[in-house]
Amino acid sequence: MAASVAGPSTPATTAPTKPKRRPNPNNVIYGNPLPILIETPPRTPYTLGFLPFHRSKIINPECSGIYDPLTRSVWVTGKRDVRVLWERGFFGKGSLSRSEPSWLTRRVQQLNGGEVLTAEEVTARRREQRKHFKASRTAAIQKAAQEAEAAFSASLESPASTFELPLVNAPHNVPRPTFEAAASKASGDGPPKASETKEDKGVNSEDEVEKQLRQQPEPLDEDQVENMEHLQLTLQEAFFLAWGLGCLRVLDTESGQYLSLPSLWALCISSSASPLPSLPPTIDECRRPDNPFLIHYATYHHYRSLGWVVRGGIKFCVDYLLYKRGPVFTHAEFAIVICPEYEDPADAASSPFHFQKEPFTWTWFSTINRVNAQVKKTLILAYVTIPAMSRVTEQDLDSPKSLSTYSVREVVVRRFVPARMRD
Amino acid sequence: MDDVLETPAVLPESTLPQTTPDAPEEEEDGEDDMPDWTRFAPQPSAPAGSSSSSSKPGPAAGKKQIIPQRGDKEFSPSAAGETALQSYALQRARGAMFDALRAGRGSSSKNITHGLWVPRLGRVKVPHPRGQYFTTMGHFLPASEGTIGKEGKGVKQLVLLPEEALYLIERGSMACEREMRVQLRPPRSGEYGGREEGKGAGDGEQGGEAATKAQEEEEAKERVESVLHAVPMSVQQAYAEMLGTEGLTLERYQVRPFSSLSCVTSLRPPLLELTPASQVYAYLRRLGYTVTRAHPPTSPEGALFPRPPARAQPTLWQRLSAHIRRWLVDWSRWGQGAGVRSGNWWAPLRFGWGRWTYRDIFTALRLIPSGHKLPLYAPSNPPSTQSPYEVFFHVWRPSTPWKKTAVPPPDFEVIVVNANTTRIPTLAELANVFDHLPVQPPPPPRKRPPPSAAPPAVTSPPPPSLLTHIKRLLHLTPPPKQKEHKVHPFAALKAGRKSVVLAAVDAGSVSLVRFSEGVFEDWPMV
Repeated sequence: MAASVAGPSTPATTAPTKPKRRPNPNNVIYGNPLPILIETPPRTPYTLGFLPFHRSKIINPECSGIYDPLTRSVWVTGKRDVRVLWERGFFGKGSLSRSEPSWLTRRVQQLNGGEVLTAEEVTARRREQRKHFKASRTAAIQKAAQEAEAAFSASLESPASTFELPLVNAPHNVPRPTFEAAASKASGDGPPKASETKEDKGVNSEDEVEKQLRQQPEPLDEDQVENMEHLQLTLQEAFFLAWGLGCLRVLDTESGQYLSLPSLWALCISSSASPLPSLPPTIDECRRPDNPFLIHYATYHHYRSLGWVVRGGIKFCVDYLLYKRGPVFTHAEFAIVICPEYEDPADAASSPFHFQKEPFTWTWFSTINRVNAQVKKTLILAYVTIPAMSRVTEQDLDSPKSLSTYSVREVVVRRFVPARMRD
Repeated sequence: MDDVLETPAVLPESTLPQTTPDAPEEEEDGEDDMPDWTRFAPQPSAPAGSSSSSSKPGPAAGKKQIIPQRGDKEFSPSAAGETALQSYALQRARGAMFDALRAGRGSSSKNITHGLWVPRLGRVKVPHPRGQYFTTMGHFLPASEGTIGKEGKGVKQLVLLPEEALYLIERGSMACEREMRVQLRPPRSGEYGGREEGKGAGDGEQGGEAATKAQEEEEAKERVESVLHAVPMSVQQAYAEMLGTEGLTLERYQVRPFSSLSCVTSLRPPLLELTPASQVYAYLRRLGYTVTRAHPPTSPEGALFPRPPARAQPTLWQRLSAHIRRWLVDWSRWGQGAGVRSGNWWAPLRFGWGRWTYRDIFTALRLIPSGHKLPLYAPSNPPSTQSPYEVFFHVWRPSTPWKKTAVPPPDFEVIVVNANTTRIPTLAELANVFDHLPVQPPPPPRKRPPPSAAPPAVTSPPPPSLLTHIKRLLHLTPPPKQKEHKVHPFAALKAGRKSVVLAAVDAGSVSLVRFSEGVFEDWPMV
């Protein structure tokens, strides 16, 4: 990127000092932040940009998914659609994978007996290495403790000799086996280094797959193996894709028809309103501004529209995680907890939903804060105001227009350690 | 009553530990809860016949100074039982703790200040302040308010708030006595011989409006006819009285300054409110911070409470121009996605003519109102209860120069809440707090190791032209900044626009977190 921006004269000056950086293939694969593609013809010096034949064109991938009432999610099964939704914006999650739908790749490798690692395998391998490392560290500490013990008993026998209490410096002055050494020993002849260094990241393994497959005498193709995995989208993701970007159609299994946007909106609201899929909510329950779908969608849409990659954060006790560019590139930086706030407290009293009975106590808060401090994420309390029922009409709630009555305000939470902030 | 009064024993200077007050330099890690007692241990010789560790053939300790490090804990004995080395280390640590605790506590007589607790005022008077604490503690009352001793009129009286006095008493820097008035007049029927004047005043306040004046006259007479006594107080007594558990009078006087913490003052035991605040006070104070009340407690007329200067209110023109600038920014942002935005709520994007980028699409999708600058919805019937979230302490770093006559703006503003009885703040409560806080400067750039190259030549900016000068006068352009550094978006997002420190106190343990106004809408990622 930087090199292309810089003029032709700059590389000559910078080349001797800086080694040339290899272009990251992820920048190409995951280069588009949204599933829709923009095709803009290059600006030529002699025509004006606003002329009709130089307009940008949109390429809509026209993905399709199936609504599954039991899991209240939208399943995307088409191979191309799965790749498009994952690679351009990191939507959804593989049903048999941690995040990137990689089951088929793993399966093909397994059948071929290959040695290419997916993200899950990298994690498993790293855990194994860590176990090795911890074991060898324990052994080293034990050895040091035994030596100290011997020195101590020796000093007891001869009182003339002095003895320095080794406890204050024993365990952590032990020459420890480094993690790197253990890693290289355990992993044998080098798995791809890039995939190893970054945790929680999908691995661009396509090149390796191809290389691997070429080496095999009769390699199985991905087409020869049945894909048991689908990409599952949450209702928020599905509605964002369908409504916000217009690049997803959702098939209703009952009617066998693609849902129109109003019916998808109604479906999202009603399925979020009832505790059980088999128990349809009453119309009054749906026509409430504190419907969980609305609150979550307002938050999801807000952060998506700010350019963040928003993914679920249940593993960190929070509602959403915000990634810059995507989980392939960086760790999540912020953890979002939704704090619904009723504009009219009377609405809270009459609400059939349970989320507002969440504790919001300091104990609850400290738990979340502790977990997220541990994983180096900044906790954000996203206060979402729920419009007072008195000012929202039912017609408003029947369309996404009601989203403009919500508002999101963040409060950033950080630890305050007085002992470290003295100057 | 406690006979052993806690007048600090006077020790010769040489035996005193060489730690300076209010400067715990050795405390580097905030999470280190357990002190390393071996560092306090008297090095040359342990008291004879006391510690079991000294009965061992002594491995000579303290030949070389070892700086203790935090390392892995040996949290359990070895599999085959405690080894000799482990038990030796344990004994040594335990012995060090006992030795440190057994040592006589005291301070030099030169440094001990004497204070007089006046329950009627709810303050501790300090006629002769000694030591450096009083540069940052206490405030002045006009001398007419209950003069003690021979102080003439016009002399200001240094007084301490209860938490300040408790802190000094507890750390052995102050010997406190309690003011008592004993009547010389023969008692009226049904009354004690010696009765506390404070109680009488409290009863008087309880009475009706009509009776107040007569009561006051009587009190004035009593005051003349009574003799002032000063009775030494123990630490326990100081705690009991100053935390306001003794009588109604004390309670009222004590609670009033703290009423900002409680919704309904008279219904709650005052200890609940005072205790967390005083714990936070002592905690920050011990770390060397300067701590004062954000809102001066009710005090007599003419009391001089050190306060930071009031923030300058923006002029009408400044506010107007800020609005216009804000509106322009909003408008330009809105205009960014205009080519793609449609007015139709069922299809928010409309790809018309022209060129657009992903940035335009994202901008067009920003449909949810956000940000703290949005006005909050005002409910028709706002809740009447007072918020527990109010700034209670102003806190300055130890390194910030601080003078009572010229108090700098506070480095931190601290809210103290009881973690058991309050929930995390609501949006309205936070908005109320943030409304009164200043906007923080942008976060400084991350510290990098200084480059070895020569410092860049300082180029002075060209003198401002006449046009910019006029613009600056009209507040259209901001004044030139000294060094414009690029702020990392994540740093800006994490710092926020305004911030406040919340101290949630749960039965003695203080949890401090910083809440900041988020500015995500100002820092989009695309």
